[in-house]
Parts: sequence; C-alpha cells; structure tokens
Amino acid sequence: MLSTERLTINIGPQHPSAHGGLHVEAVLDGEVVLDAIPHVGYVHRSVEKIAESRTYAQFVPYTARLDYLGTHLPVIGYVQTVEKLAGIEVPERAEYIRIIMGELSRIASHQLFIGSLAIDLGATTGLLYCMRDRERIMDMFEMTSGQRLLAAYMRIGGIAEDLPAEFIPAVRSFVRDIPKMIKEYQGLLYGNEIFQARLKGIGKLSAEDAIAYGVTGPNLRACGIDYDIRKAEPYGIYDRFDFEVPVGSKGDAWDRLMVRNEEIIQSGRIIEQALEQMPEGEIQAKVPRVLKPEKGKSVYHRIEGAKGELGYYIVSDGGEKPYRLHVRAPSFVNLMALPLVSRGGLLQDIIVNIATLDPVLGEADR
Amino acid sequence: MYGTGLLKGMAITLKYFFSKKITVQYPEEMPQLQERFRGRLYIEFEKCIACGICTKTCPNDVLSLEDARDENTKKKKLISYTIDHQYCMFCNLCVENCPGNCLHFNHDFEMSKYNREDIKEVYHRPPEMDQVASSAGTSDSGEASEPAPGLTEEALKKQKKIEALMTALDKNPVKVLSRYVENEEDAQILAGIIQADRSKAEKIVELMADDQDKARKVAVAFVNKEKKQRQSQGEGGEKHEHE
Amino acid sequence: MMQKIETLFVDLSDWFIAWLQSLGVPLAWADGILLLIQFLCIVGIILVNITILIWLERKVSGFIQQRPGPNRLGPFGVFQTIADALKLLTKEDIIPSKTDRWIFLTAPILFMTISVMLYIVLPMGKDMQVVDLNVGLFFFISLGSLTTIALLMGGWGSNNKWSLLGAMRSVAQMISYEIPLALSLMGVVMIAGSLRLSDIVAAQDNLWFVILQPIAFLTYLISATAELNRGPFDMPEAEQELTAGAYTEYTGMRYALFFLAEYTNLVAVSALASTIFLGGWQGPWLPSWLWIIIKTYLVMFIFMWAKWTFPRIRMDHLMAFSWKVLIPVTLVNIVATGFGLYIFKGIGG
Repeated sequence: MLSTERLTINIGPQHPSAHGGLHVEAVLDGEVVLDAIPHVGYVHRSVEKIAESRTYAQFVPYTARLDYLGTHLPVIGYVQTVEKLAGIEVPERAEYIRIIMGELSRIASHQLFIGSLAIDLGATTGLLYCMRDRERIMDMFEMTSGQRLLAAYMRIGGIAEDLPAEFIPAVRSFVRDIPKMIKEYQGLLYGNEIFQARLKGIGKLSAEDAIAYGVTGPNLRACGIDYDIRKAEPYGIYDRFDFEVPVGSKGDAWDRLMVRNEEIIQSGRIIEQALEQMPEGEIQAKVPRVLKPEKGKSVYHRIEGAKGELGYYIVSDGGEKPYRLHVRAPSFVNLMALPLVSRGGLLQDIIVNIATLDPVLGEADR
Repeated sequence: MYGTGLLKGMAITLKYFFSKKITVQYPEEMPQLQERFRGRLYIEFEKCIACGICTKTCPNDVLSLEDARDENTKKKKLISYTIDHQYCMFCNLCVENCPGNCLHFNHDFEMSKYNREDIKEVYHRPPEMDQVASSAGTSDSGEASEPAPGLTEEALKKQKKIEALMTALDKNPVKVLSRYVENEEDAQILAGIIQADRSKAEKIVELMADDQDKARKVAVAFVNKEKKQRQSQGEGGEKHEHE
Repeated sequence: MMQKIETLFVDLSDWFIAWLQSLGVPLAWADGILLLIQFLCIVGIILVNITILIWLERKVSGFIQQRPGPNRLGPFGVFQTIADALKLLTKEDIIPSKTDRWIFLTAPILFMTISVMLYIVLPMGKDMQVVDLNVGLFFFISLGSLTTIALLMGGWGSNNKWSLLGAMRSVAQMISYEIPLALSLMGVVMIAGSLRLSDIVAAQDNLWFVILQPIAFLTYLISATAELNRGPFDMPEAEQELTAGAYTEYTGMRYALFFLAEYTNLVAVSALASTIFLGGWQGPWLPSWLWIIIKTYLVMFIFMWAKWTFPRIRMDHLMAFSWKVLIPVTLVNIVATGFGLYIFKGIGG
C-alpha cells in the first residue's frame, strides 16, 4: 500500500513576503496544510526593558519604532497613557492635530497593506502605485516634523512644533484625492477576477474564534463584530466626529481587505471634519521639567491602532523613570490566529493569510 | 462579462505606461526636502554655554561635551563637543531643549563613511574665541571682535591680521619668529627683545602683516644689534669679573 | 528600389548559390552550405532578439510603474543585458554531488536546442523561411510540447524533492495548456485549408484572421502565456513559498540558459501569432521582413503588459481554467468556424 509522508517546510525568516522577520513552519500533506506555526522573536529589541532606564519624555522616540508603519499612532498611545498617569490636560489644538496625524498614519498603514498584499500575490505594479500614493502622506509628515517614517512629533502634553503654513492645503488636496485613489485600486486590484479568486473564501475566521483568540482591529470587524475602540470607549476627542465603522460579514481574506479599504475612506472623513473644527491656541501643556508621577499608580490605556488594540501599561514608582512598561501589541495577538486560519487550505494560501492578518514584526516582537 | 475587470486593470497600466516618470535620478538630481528635514546635527560653538541639558536629554548618549571654568569670568566655557551620529534617533529632543538655540539639523543626509570611528564629529574650541576675549579685556567677548566703525575693508583685514599675529606671538613666539630669522637661537633672542619692548613687537608685527621681506630685514637687524650688545656686555662683564 | 530592399535576403541567397556553383560545387552541397549559413543567421537573430527583449521587459515594467527602468549603462540603458550576462558568466558553476550528472547537464542545452528549432519554419518575410514544410504548423506545435521533457530532466536531475515537485507542476501546467493552444489554431487551418505557413499568410491577403477568429486569438494568447510559464501563470517558477521550482540547483550560465530559452520561446510564439493572426509579413510600404519584426514586437508587448498587471493564479484554479473553460471555448470555436465555412461556401457556390 502506498504510504504518504508529512512534509515540513519553513517559510522565512528571510523571505520577500515575510513582513519583517516572520518564520512560519508549515506542515503539509501533499498540497493541503495541516498546521502553520508562527515563530516570532527575530526582531526582539527589548524595548520594554529599555523603558525602565529612560525617563518618560526620553522614551517617546522608542515607541515610534514599535509599529513603524503606522507612524504616529503608537506614539499617540504612549503619550496619552503618560498623560493619564500624571493627570496632564492637553490643549484643544494639540488634540485636533493629533487626530489628523493619527488618521493620516492609519491611511498610510492601510495603503501599505494593500500594496504588500498585491506584491505577495504577484502583481508588482500594485505595490508601486500604493507606495507612490503613500509618498504624499510622508511628505506631509516631513513638513511638520522633519522625518518621513519614524516621526517623534508628539510630546507629553501636546505637540512638539506647530504646523507650518503649507501643511493644511496639502492635507486638503490629499483628502480630495482619496476617492480617485480608491477608484484606481478598484480598477487595478479589487476588480481583477484573478485577485478575487485568490482572496474570496480563503482563510475564514469565525466570530467566536476571533473573540477567543483576542484578535482585534480590522480583522475582528471583518468577522462581523462591530467593535472599534474609537466608538466603544472614545479617547482624546473622537466622540466629536461623525464617522462609520465598516464591518464585514464572512471573515475571509476578501472581507479583511474590504474593511481596510473602507476605513481609508472613513479616515478621510474624520480628517475633513477635524480640519474644519480645529481652533487656534497653544500646542503644549505645562509639564514639569522632570515628570514624576505618583508612586504606586499604574494605568492601562488603549487606542485603536492601525492593526488593532494597541495598549500601554505603565507602573510608576514615584521616580522619573517608569518601573514597568508593557506594550500590548496587536500584531502579536493577531498572528496567533494564523494556524487556525490556515488549516485545511493550500500552501499558497498561507502567504495570503499572513498578508491579510497584517502583522508588523517590529510590534509583534517589540 | 467575465473578464472586464482584467481589461480595466490593463487599461490603467497602459495609461501609466505613457505618463511622466516620477522618480528622481539621485546623484545628479537632489530630492526635494522640506524645510524641517532632519539631516545632520551641528552646533554653533560660539553660542553654547556648556549647560549640559542636551547631553542629559538625549535618550541614546549621542552628545557629550568637555568643559572648563573660565578663570576671568568664572563662567563655564566649552572646550570640545562630540556628536556621535551612529546612535542618533533624530528625535529632536536635544534641539528643542537647548536654551541657547545652538543645536540645529541641516539638510545633509549623505552621512556614510568608510570607518566607524569617522562618524563621530568632534568640535574643538577655536583659538579665536580665547584671543578675542583676551584682546578685548572686557566680559562681553561678542563685541570685541568688531572693529572700530568707519574703517575700510582693507584696513579691517589688516587689523584682523595684526591681531591674529599678536596672539600667535604671545602663545608661541619662537615658532612665529623662526620664519623671519636664520635659526632657532636667533629666534629666541628676538623673542626676548620683543617681550622686553612692546613697541618693537608692534613694529615687527605691522611689518609682518604688510611686507615680509622688510620684516625679515628688520628682524635680522634687531637680532644682530642685540648680539653685538650682548657681546660687548659679555666682554665688559668678563672684564668686570676678572678685576 | 523598394523592391530591391524587399527581396534583399532572397537575392543574396540566390547569388550565393550561383557563386558556389560557379566555383564547381554541386547543387546539393551548395544548398547544404546555404542551410548552414541560414541556421547561423537564425542563431544570430535569436541572440540579438534576446538581448533586446530582456532590456525591453525591464523598460516596459519600469514605464508601467512610472519609473525609467535601466538607464545608466549606455544610452537608455541598452548595455544592461550585456552587463548582466557578463556577471552571470563569472559566477561559480556549482553542480551538486549526488545529481544524475548527464541529465542535469543536458537539460538546459536540450531546452535551448528545441527552442531554436522552432524558428526553422517561421516565415521571416516573403519567401524567407529556412525550410518551407508542408506541415509547418504541426511541426511547430509538436516541438513546443517537447520542451516539457527538458523541464522534467532539469527537475529530476537535480536530486532535490522541491525541484522535482516544481518541475512536475510546470509539466502539468504546460501539458494542460497545449490542448487549447493547438485547438485555437485549428480554426485558422480550417479557413486557410493548409498547414503550410506560407499558405496561411497568403490566405490573409484580404482580411487578417484576427478579425475572422477573435476568440481564437484570445485563447491562443492565454494558452501561450501558460506555455511560456510567464505572466499570471508563473506559479511553478516564482514560487516564493518553496523554491525556484525546477531551476533551483542551477547556477550561473546554466540558469541563464533556461531563461534565455524561455525568451527564445517567447519570440517564436509571438512570431507565430503574428504570422497566423496578424497577416505575417504583409503590409504596405515597408519591406516584409520589417513588418514581421514590428508585429512580433507588438504581440510581445501585449505579453509583457499582461504580466506586469495581473497577480498570479493559484495552481488548482489554473488547471480548472484550462480544462473547464478554455477547451470548451476552443471546441465551440471550431464548431462555429465549421458552420461559418459551410454557409460561406454555400453562398459562394
């Protein structure tokens, strides 16, 4: 009688579609995947330990390197946590600027998601069009802070510098061009029958499994659960804006893509409203030179990052440096759903699943 | 119909095939940088008051400085400043927190070197800063380097040269003077003359700024005169001793 | 004058045979020597074309992506291919120890040889074929399917289970798409009434076959893309998950030889498409051998354009597409062409 053997192959960590440094061990029976085990830790930089020897203000640039694709969002999370810990109130104008920067970062992250999904499937041109559009956002970041990708623009208590004169017209013209950009992606990528055949029905994640694994962000919303931290527990001034949260229905790779696509449009709406409502004023609150929060106080604050729920847990011991800082990274938790989603599929679908779960290894490994 | 999506995609790529290229040919064309771009860190040495806030603020120990206390004014003065770019995160904390506004980022992004040690940039205290302070004699060292108003540019230049030569003479007279006389021994004699008599020093320095040949002649003349004097003195002294 | 340019190569070969005969060489030998020279010319044409094609592919992909492509070596980057070839020549030639040595070494050579043999029947201008076989089209298609043997040899000889797996997938793909390729050409054969390529070109005097058989043209292009292992059908080759398929263990110039063979196939298939569907060397004003070059490059541009726009098709969708969609479509095309001919002949009397 013929006997079959299980093959074990390794995908990554050095790999064009490994999204950083991800190692997936795939166990195959012929073409069908029996298990796909992710091994993380290749990008571990001990950020949490470094935090124990830096003051609260000095640690701000390190947080930008966590989710490096959503430029300002992890920094916003950190400074808001410290402000919650020390009881600092942020002026209005700084809050509005933070919202604009945060939503622009979300758009940039989702654009890169679409581009890297395209190149993982073989359509190289898709990546380059997404990068070209992302350059506009990076130019806007460069105008304000001087850095394109890892901008440490937020400070505890507000913003580092006020906006230059050319920023607001640039944002307005970008927001006006968002519908045209989406239409182009629709024509080149989403409308393509091959693309749809590669994504529809692949990697189904049910709602109960998603909640059990702790998956958050667009992946959770694609499964049909309407949970967005910006609406559920509004932080900052998100309750003043009128926007919708896109929710999928089937939880497959196509829904994950469509949810993120729709989020780009909704972020555009938020930016428009923020531009109209933004007041004049000062941009940084009065923060003592050496910030020493109360001894023994600990706080957990979370924001809706581009990949999911990004949370910071800080314990203070009364000194100028935190006693313990922990980052709840959404990519790490989302990636643990990879085996569940890939079982029973084909080998090529592992690549699609990794791409649509959208991990950023800098965040997953910290 | 099945397949229209594919055709639409092909139409889009065909449209871009005939469109303008958006890339920048790098070494020939420089990219357009925004105003606040963070390139390389540099310090304006004269404005620095050596307070050390930047070194404490930097998360990664990029900046370090060496200072000393000025004897006259009892204020701190900066001797050398080191910027080690290999650890820099370009976070702008040092620039923002500097009270004298002397750290800035310029637009230089081509920072690669062949050896790791060359990345470190060390700024040393230029000698002009001390020389200006000492020649002015007052505590506002910023003012003294400005010459008297109403002078022409030529005269300004000459005055600056004279001042520089004077400082150099004060510091290391033998080295400066050995260019104008034959050997080091003569240079030492000349140094002695100049230190004794200030007017002679000024005369020689003015000649050095103007006419090198004449300066040489005058220097040699001074030395010979002094030698003769010493010889006669020596003989006289010897004679005196023997008696 | 234009007539002279038009028949330049034909006149040259006639003159050459006459010259050899005047030297006392018998006709059979002179024909043989001419054949050899023509064969060398074909090799020369292939090499020049490949050099231009690799440059063209990179330029086309660059222009689609709004960037200039290679532009540093030579004007518009034309020397890029030469630089790449020189680089590949200087690489170390690694042959793994446990391979089946003769099979491993002969596979790329066989691939290239078969690809070159395809050019023998292609008409490169009026009366300019190396051999005018009366079963020219049949010869072409059957040689095209021999390339699968070369691939299998490469995969088996590497002594590597991933290479074998990739090679088997490639072979499965190529065999599945042979059938629609051959069937889509049958409609043309029915209308022209002959398998001889010069007859098919002559039958397009009034109307190009692309207008009479548009569906066949489309299915021919799709099947040819799959045959060439490029474009949306390059799953066995660009397998990022596994390895480079059948070509994994090849290094340096042997690796390059596989890709050169693929480009050679590309030119041959495009030339066949322009011969059969686009009227071959017929065209106003310019000499015939120039027209076929223009038409071939036009078809190659379509191939490249499709490759850089579309994502890859998954293996099972690929097979399903061939067996469940393309073959029925081509069969329906043949039936419809039969009906059309019957009615046309009936009307014509």
